[in-house]
Amino acid sequence: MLNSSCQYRGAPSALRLMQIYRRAVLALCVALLGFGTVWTFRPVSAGSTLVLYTAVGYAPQVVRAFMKQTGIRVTIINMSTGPLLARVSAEGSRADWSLVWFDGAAAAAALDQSGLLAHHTTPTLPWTRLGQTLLPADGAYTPTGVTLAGVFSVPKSRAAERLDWNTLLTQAEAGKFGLSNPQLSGPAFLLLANLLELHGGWPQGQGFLRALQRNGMRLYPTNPSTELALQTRQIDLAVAQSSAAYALAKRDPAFAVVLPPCPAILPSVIAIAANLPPRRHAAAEAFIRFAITPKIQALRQASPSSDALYWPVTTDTPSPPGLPPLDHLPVTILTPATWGAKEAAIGAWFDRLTALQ
Amino acid sequence: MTFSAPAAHLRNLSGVPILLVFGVLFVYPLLRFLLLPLVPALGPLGSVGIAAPENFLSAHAILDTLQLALVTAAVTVPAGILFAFLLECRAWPGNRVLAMTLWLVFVLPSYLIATGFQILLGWAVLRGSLVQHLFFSAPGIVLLLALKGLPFCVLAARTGWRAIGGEIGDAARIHINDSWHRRVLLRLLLPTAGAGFVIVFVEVLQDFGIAATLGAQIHLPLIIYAIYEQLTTMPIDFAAAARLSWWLVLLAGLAVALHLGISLRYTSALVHGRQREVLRPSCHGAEAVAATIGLAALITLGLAVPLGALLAEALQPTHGAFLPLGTLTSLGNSAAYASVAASLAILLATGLAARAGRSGRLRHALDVITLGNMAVPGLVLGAAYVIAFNNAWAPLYGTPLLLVVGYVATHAPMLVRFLQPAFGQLHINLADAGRVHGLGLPRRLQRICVPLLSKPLLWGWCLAFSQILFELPVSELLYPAGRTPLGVQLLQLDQSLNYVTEARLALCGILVCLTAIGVAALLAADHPSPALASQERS
Repeated sequence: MLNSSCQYRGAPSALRLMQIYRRAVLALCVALLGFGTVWTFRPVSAGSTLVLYTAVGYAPQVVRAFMKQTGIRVTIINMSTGPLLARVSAEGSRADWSLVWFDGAAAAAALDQSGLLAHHTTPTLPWTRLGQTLLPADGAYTPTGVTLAGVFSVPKSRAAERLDWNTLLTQAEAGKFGLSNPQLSGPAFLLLANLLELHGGWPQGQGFLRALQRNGMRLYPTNPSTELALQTRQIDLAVAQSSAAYALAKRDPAFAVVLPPCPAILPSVIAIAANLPPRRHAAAEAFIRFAITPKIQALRQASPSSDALYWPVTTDTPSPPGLPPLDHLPVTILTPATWGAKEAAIGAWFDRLTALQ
Repeated sequence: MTFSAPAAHLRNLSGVPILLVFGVLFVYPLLRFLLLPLVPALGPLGSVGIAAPENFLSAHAILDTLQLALVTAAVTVPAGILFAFLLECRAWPGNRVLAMTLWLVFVLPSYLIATGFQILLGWAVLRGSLVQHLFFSAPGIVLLLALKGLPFCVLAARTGWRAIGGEIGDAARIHINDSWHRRVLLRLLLPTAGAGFVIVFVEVLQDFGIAATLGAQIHLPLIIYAIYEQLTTMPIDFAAAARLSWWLVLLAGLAVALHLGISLRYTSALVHGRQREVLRPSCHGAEAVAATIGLAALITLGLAVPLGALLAEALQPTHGAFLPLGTLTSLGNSAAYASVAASLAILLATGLAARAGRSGRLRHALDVITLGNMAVPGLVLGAAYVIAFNNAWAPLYGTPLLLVVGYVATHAPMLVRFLQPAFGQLHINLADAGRVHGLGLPRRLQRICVPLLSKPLLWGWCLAFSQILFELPVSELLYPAGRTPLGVQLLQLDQSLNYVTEARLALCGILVCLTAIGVAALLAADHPSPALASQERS
């Protein structure tokens, strides 16, 4: 009874076939498990000179072009901004990355204050006047383009309306406008900071945000979910990052973009990890210079990602079609270190305000 | 049989390595993380950015979570008790379908159910409707949480109905004439209802998928998602995450203590004469109609809507590849993680369940550990691992090894519980008889243990595989950069509203699960007896 092989000795051949078949399946499963083990524990960036953590949508195209031109191997790791910053923060001085590329100078300033970024890495380029103002004094990060932290995304029928920040306080907009939650969406914090700045600074500007809250302001976790709320008519006006708003208008003609007065400038920034070996540091600097060449900026602007709809910060590259000229537009440039230091306090206050709705 | 003193001593110590493994996997990381608010030096680096002195979101998240958990549990328990009544006390033709539906709802990840509803309610015809308004608010969250909690509640309630048995009902019918007065029997259900309530309550506290999808979208802060925010948004604040985790663990612990209290208080109601198998009556007219409506509602809400919406979205025409290579890689990554982690978890659980069968003290320790695991959600364990294994002597953070260890740690306790009944059936005398007859350990394993345990081991592996394949909270915190797991990829697609790719990827993941289960079923199929086969041939 215990010896199953004896059981089958002399049994019908179909049963023997079944046994062979099952053994073959078992062997296949063991082989798959072995393959799974090898796949799981294979090295991520073996042989790569650079590891790029990025939250910008056009980075893969840039990396491909860089590897093709220089032969330097780059491992690209895509994440959204929050998890990217969390990972960089948790890795600390044992960083696996060589370069980080994301939206938001305030977060870059915070990483710099924690000693995680190399200094004096900003290349000498034909910067625009705006680009010049965004360069950090210690050269810890390099701006690679700008978007606007808060523009109005509205149904096409409202495109001709004169809309400004005070419009959000009117009875007609009550409960019908929304924005990304600044606690969850990095770019949205700059919008919040800008609203405070435009209405007296911190803490004087709190009154305006209280009034917005009283008028039924709605919050969403990301730009896409704010967009979904607009598309599903939960709201009639979304205050969104300009790249997302212009991408929606380009994709769906039922929507348009209206620029409010003095929107905040939101730079994309790229930075190099502190304490990289000289060869990798040099390769990382070469990558930054490469990413801001006119040819590669054209490649970035041709990317299908909504991040492609940005304004360049160098004079040798034109803006993508469809974006209004930024030169004469009144904008707000917030000081990253100043507002970065206030982020936690403002965030906690804003949560208290919105939690009481 | 007697042992010499040193041999007996060694035998007593044989459970120590197992407890050490659990100490390293659970006790050390959790203690280090949970003590962080008191001893900030236990953190990895401190925080990047400047943390707020106080965080009002926490208080709001705690109140919201508590309220949602109570409402969801209150809504789910009656339905769970009624479904369990059908399964245990009635011979209803739909019982098999009901059991299968509950099983599928249990296996389907909560964030996929949420996404299915989000897709459906994003369709033009429903935009601006009352249904859409209700779904994108607290009732929508309660509905999804209740659906995910229902299988757990039914499982607990079935145990209660089974314990009551049919004899008490028969006795009541004989001795109590008035059917209204027979409602006194309902008091016997109190421990069952309490158990169901606690299980759903704890499930709601710990469900990360719904909090990360619909909860985040409608700005309903919940503790589990607030912990995640503390760890993934600037300024990163591990101490605040630890403070919130204390709340989660305390609430779950209180719920479990309440459950134990109710069970102890009302245990006497469940003790009666020896239970015999009784013939279950079939449903009468009204019961059958109600049962059919209930089952139809469950199938519609739990399976047809989410899976139908995902399928419809997946079939939308798009330009380019059916699935971008990057997203497909995440499926490959997770299939590899899941196969390795499920195999390791089943090995560990087998060792533990086997040892627990032989030692009373170890069994009690395991009961405590597996129950304790119930009170600690995967997200908290993941956060604990970020701190515990991110230093000079254990630099594992960001490696695939730590992710696999995280998966094993979160699934091994569940597998121990799953395997314990099977090991309970494997009488120790069988192995002893084999030993007496001269069979070595490998032969005893091959001839006695494997044939008797192969089915539970295979099904346990399948259960762990399918859960790890779609796992979200541990993956979010521990995945190695550049090796995105399926759950993380699906959530990213969900948050960027790329529903078509998300639906296609999710359906491919479900196909992978079904294939694994099919292969397991093939391997687990009973051999037809040779004698029977020759009879059939003749």
